[in-house]
Amino acid sequence: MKEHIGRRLPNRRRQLSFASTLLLLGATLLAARADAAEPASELRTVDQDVQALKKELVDLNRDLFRLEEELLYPASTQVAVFLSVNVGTFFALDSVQLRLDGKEVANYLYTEREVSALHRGGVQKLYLGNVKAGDHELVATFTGKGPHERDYRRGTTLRFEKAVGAKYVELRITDRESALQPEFAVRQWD
Amino acid sequence: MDSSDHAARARLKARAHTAALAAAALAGAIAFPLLAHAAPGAGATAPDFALKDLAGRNQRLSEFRGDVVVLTFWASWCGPCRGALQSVGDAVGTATGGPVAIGISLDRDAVRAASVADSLDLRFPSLLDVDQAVGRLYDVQHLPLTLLIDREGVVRESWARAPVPPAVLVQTIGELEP
Amino acid sequence: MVSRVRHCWLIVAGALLALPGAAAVAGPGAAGASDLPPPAKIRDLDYGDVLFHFFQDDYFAALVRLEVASELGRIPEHAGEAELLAGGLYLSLGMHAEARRRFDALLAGPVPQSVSDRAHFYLARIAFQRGYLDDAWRSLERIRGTLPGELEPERRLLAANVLMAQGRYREAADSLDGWTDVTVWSHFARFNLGVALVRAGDGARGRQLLETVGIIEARDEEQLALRDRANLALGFALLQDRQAEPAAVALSRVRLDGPYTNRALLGLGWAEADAARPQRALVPWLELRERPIVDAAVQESYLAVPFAYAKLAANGQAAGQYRQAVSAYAAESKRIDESIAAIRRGGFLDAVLDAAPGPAAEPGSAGWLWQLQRAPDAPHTRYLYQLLASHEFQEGLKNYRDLRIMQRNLRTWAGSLEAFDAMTAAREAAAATVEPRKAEMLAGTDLEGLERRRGALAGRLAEIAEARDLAAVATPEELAQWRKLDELEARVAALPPGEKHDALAERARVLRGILTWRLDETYKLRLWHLRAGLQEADAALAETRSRLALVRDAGDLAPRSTAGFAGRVDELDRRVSRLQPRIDAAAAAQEQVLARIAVRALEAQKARLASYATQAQFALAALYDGAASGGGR
Repeated sequence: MKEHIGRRLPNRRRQLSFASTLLLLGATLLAARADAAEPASELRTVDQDVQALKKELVDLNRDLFRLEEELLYPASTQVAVFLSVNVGTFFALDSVQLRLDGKEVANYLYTEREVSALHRGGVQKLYLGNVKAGDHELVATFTGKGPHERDYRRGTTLRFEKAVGAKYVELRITDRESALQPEFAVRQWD
Repeated sequence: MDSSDHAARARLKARAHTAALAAAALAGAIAFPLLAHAAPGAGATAPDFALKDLAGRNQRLSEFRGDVVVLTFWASWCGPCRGALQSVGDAVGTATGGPVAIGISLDRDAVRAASVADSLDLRFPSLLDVDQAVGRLYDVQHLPLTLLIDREGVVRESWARAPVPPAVLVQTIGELEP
Repeated sequence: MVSRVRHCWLIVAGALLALPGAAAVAGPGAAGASDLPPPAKIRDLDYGDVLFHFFQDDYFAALVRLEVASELGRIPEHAGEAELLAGGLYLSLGMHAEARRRFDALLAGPVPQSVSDRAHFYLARIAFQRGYLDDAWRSLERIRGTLPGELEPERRLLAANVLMAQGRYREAADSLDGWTDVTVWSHFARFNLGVALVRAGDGARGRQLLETVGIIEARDEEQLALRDRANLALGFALLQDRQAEPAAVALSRVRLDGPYTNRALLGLGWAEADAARPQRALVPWLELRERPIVDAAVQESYLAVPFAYAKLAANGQAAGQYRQAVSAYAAESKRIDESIAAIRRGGFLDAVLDAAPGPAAEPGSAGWLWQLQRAPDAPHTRYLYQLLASHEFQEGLKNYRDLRIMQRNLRTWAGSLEAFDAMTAAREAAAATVEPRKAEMLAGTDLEGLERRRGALAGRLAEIAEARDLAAVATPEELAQWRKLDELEARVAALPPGEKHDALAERARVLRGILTWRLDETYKLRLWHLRAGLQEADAALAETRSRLALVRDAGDLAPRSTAGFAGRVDELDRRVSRLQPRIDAAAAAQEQVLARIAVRALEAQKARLASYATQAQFALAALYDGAASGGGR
């Protein structure tokens, strides 16, 4: 579809000298360049301003993010559930469902972009919530397609105790050497 | 505490809750249970969601940030919806800047939704909202419902009950400020 | 005459070969995800969270989370990598100064070579883009190992670019010698060197390099565009060297439908004209003239076509076309005036941003290096394609877009802060009512007293058990009976010996026996009950103790924490309020700067049109003169 220029002409004419050239070409002398005269210093000043403003915005967002987390999910009640994928062959994760103390708290559908990010080593913060101190039960289920279009559905149950500090739970989808099937492995931190 | 205090506290709580939802939605990684709330009007951020398309792939609205999105809710049992979908298809084909059209079917029967989409020969993806969770999220009262969402995920216009004329849609897309 | 022609060709070639210096930047995001080595073990979940956003090109979200996690000490296992990533993210988001600070700070401490190598690379790139060539070279020299993924070929390109910019062409050429891969980076390097050599006067070598790029097997849009560019540059360089035939060959390789087509068509026409084939020159020129007149090459074709016709002695037609050219230029000039007026009225940047294609149309456009490739054809934006080719204009446009996004970010947070304010107020109110009750409870509970009594009881119990003190476990009735028995026995003892005495003594003895037996029997049971009672008391005491402790602790924590929050919310609110107007001002300033650039460029275009029109008038006059004096040339 990419046609190229350079079609052949039917007739040839007598040679003509290329005399008067046509001051046309002289006209190109006047072809001005696009980014000529705007004082580079003015552009640079605005650019520096913008950079500084962006930096302040990043700092502000950082502080706001922190405040929000501490306010909405203080460590004393915070529980965070992360999801990571570590499989040898490609596993197209479709969805993950979480039930905390019997209540559904997450039901996440994964897009190609997210699955790719997980496979490259990203870890998703799947759920952030609050629970009282004491014992709790987390039930996680994942569904997805493995190689050869085979469907998988696996679950796991974790009982954990919520103490004073923020509770981190990592749900790891991994394939055991022997079975070569994706399974859940769970780790937790206080 | 007397009753006015109670009421005041309840109001504060309600406001805090709703606004906190918005904040959490912005914060992104913090998952927050999404409740059904009023339809997003012009100027509100379109609530994020993920649904399967007809090919079985999951699609998430927020991954279209940076593009103008035309979102149309429809169902197989809604007559005017077919016209609406075709209008949208026409408009998006001609508008400048490459807007993206997405249809969301509220049919509980995925097979029927698929066959209707096929019969209309739509050139844009249709997502299946079999549980109607997204329909509730957007408080869809009348079909068809078409929403115009700008590059930053904010709803700028909505049309309900009848198809949008393609020319109107094209013009509105053209008038968008980023 | 010949020399003037050559001179003019040089100008044309020069204008076309006036490529932006940083021609090198190709591909998506500065801190592309290819920068990172394949997934190492993630030891800190919060770092994995950062990467999850980073791998989806959501750089702002990744950076905010990275800064939070760093500040809170949540990612100790990934310290060096995190700093490098932070620098790369700042770079991706257009904050070069901050990125440089981060990289410098990183290098000030001990870091593994893989990290320092990349830091030096980024610093070299920043220095080069700002024009500090010596700094760039110094940084490049401090890279010891091979960079990962796409960074290595990019480094080689950067090194070649630095050398070229410093005029060290021989070394640049040498550096390219061993580079045999077919990545777009090596092609860019050869292209840049080719152009540089042509400019520097070594046309033969330059053209040779351009030729190699002109025939690459292009796999994507980027490579296709580069190939076109190379063929275009080669074609004009050959024209400059009076090699018309090879020039035509090179220019013919340019796609019929691409960003360089128009100039290639123009050049092709000149190649044919240069080879004294004006009839053939007409083919591309006529094609060109049908295209939108906004393009400079198209404008020139309006003169080139009648030039060819004049060469073919079709003077009548040539004259007509010159007149056509004059009116076309006038109409176009008027349209430019309208555009200038529209730009001066304001809002033109919005129109540009709005109509530019988004990520769905052009993959990889996330982050700072989002490149606007086409301007939409609207009154405001008709001429902006040329402007958009300018690096400075693009950067300014990106700034403007970013500022608008920043405005939205702050508006959203401002709304959240209102909610936070309400929350903290509610919490403080709650804490205020709970406080007095807590204090009351704390005051009313004499834990120590309770414990003392319990201790005493336990001690007594132990004594009883030790001494088998039956009387101690007796019920009050039994104690009364025991005492009565004592009294009876005392009375009996007081009696004189005799029958009465004996009968009573016997009775007392029997009663004592019964009582003793009963007590004895139930002693164990009663002791057990007492002990159980004591245990219950212990349990209750322990629970009370812990509850009181919790209440006391909560009482200590709550007022402190809510007061802290309220203060933080206020402070952040102030910061948001102060930042918003500054962003608005910067956006306005940026818009004005860009508007001025645009207007200046448009006025330059008007000037060109005016000069073309003048040329047309002269040529027309020459034709009339020629006709008047009888016969063509």
